[in-house]
Amino acid sequence: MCQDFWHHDTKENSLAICVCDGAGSARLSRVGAYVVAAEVTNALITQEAVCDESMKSAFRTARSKLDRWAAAGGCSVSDLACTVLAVWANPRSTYMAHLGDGVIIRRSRTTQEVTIVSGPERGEFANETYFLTSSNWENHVRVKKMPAEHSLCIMTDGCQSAALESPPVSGPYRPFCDPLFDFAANSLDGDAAESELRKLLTGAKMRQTSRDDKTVVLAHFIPEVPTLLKNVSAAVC
Amino acid sequence: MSLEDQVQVNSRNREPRQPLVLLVDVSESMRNDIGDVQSGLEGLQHELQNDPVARNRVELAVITFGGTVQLLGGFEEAAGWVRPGLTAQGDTPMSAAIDKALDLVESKKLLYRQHGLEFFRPWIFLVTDGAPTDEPLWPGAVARVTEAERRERVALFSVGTESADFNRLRQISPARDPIRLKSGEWRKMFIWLSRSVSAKSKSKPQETVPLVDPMAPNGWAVAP
Repeated sequence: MCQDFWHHDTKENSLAICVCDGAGSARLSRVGAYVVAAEVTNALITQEAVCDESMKSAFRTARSKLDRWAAAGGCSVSDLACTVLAVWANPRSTYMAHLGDGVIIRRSRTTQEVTIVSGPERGEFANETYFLTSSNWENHVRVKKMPAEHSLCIMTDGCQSAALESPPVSGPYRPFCDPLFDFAANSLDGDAAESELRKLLTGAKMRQTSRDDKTVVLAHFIPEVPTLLKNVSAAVC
Repeated sequence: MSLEDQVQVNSRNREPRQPLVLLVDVSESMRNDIGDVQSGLEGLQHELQNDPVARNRVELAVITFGGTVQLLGGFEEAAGWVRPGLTAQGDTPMSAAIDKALDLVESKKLLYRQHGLEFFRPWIFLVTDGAPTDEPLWPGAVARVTEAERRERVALFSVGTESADFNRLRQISPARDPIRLKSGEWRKMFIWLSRSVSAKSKSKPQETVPLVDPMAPNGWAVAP
């Protein structure tokens, strides 16, 4: 059963996105991912202005919600373990906060340069990562401010093999990322875009790279439209 | 053209990795054994390259200590690894070699993390016929290994020939007892190593992989 969830919201000229991947080893991680995606998005979109601290604060709000949920439901908070990737943007700036694996990739509108804004943070060994339910999660949250003029691609770890280079080369795998960013730039119809993305993620090419759940969220900055980033598209399978 | 047609996925090797550092004593006293060690390494190369999974998962590096400490080549995927040539010479700077192996493992893990690659607990496999001659560095090496083992950052296996100082080896492998190679059984030892590391590289995370007992009656080792 799919353990990835994502949520997004817009308000005036700002946008919030949160993507979560529930831990395969935690029995209710699907619920955790769902709750955290909604809670972080809501905490971000209701703020007038965002800074490093407010990104972390949104994570804290979501963690408190998980604690309450666990207490009410009679389960351990670790049963709700999930990773978190969050983005807040307005026409002037973009913030991201990231805990655990998954990746955020950026394409600059001015230089077309494609870079990893935030890469996966692994634990010591295969299949170990950091979750919002970990006791030391605050030590592992990475918060970053970026210029506004770009496209963003937010992905869960099921897409990492397809989208990242193999050693000795590092960075994003351009033959994967470039068509996605072009697609985001040219897609005006959100539903059709989502359907195309879903086809990609469930297709044979992606299946051969990983059998894990996969989520891709694309956000594209449109300079002519003062309401900033749009074309948010995603697919979960 | 659909999005799926346009997008290409990275199909190069992104398998989870099992690092293996071979820490080989090539001091002067190893001269008579060097030929056997080399053919043992050849066997290891052959076995790993013929294993369709392990060839993409196991990554090997060889550090020798004999007079000086040398990293021969770098970390290579088993699929493309070629066993290095060995020459016996000098004394036994085992402490410095262990230090280098731990540094190498840490830098490799950093690289894995940067690439978002999963990896298993690295193995360091130490073979020697003697005792460290860089005594002042020994306590530091022991402390580093002990800490790394305690935090499950590395697993160090130590094998000595009959003339090895097993008291020293016990200090450097706190988590598992050193074992003594039966005379001349180098090839058998390396085959065991390749099969063990292959099994490990195919395991589930955190799973304990039972290894074939090298001290079984038909095995290649005995208790020191």
